[in-house]
Amino acid sequence: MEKIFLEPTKVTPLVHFDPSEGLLELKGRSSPENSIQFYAKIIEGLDEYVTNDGDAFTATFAFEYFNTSSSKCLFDVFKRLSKIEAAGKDITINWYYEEDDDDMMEAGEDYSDLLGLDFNFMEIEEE
Amino acid sequence: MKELYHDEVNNLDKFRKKIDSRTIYKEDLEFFSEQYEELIAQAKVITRVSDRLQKKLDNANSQIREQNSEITEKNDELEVAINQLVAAKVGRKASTILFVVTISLLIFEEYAIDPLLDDLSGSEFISIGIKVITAVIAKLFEGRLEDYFLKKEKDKIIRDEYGKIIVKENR
Repeated sequence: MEKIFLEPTKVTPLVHFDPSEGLLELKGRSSPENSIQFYAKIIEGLDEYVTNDGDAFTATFAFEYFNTSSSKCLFDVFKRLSKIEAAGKDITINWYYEEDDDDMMEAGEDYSDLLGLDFNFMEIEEE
Repeated sequence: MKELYHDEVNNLDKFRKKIDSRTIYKEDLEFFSEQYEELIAQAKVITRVSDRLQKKLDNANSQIREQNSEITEKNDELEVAINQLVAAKVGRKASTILFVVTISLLIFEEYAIDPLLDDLSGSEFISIGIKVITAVIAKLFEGRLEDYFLKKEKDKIIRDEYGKIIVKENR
């Protein structure tokens, strides 16, 4: 399984996916031209990870903003995380949101409730 | 290129093919109901996310409308202030020109016309009368001069603004 590292842009988040370390990080803004294409490699990587030897996986999400089609792709990402958990691996999901951004916190709560995943909600304090 | 709901569309196509071939088993129906349940979950989360985005957009639009209204108000105030400033500037210019012209006329009257009047009539009242008439005409002329400079200043501002627009259009 290959590592993925993508620098953040104005419309795409930072992506750091390291299957050997059991690590996924998505940070920034997500409103790509083609969301399904942008998230395809991550989803494929997670599909492969389900059958991988790794026994622990940490996913960290810190979004400032994501658009509607990204929310669908994120649902697919969480569905894979749910499968990883169902495969008996320890999974940790950290959901960061900016201070006073209740909408982003609630979006995390929605994913957590609908997919039955435990999220660690963490507020990013403004400097 | 994959479309956003390609997995769901594929599953639907497969299920329809099974209906057409009349080979549906209980497992197929269970799988289909699971997919449907998942779609409902997706619809819920996407609708909530969209609602939040719409709320943010609506709030941002309201703020923009309020700010636009404030900007228009401030622009009107600024226009009034600029007009007052231009009027004051033009008024000072007209007064200065008229002051110089009036003083010149009075000096001319004192040294060129007064000696002639003294020779002709010897009355000082005619000289005083001419000075008063000169002052009154100067005062009346001041308003006209102000209007003239004001018009000139406004034409200049319009020309400058028009020039800026032309430059922008040519870029």
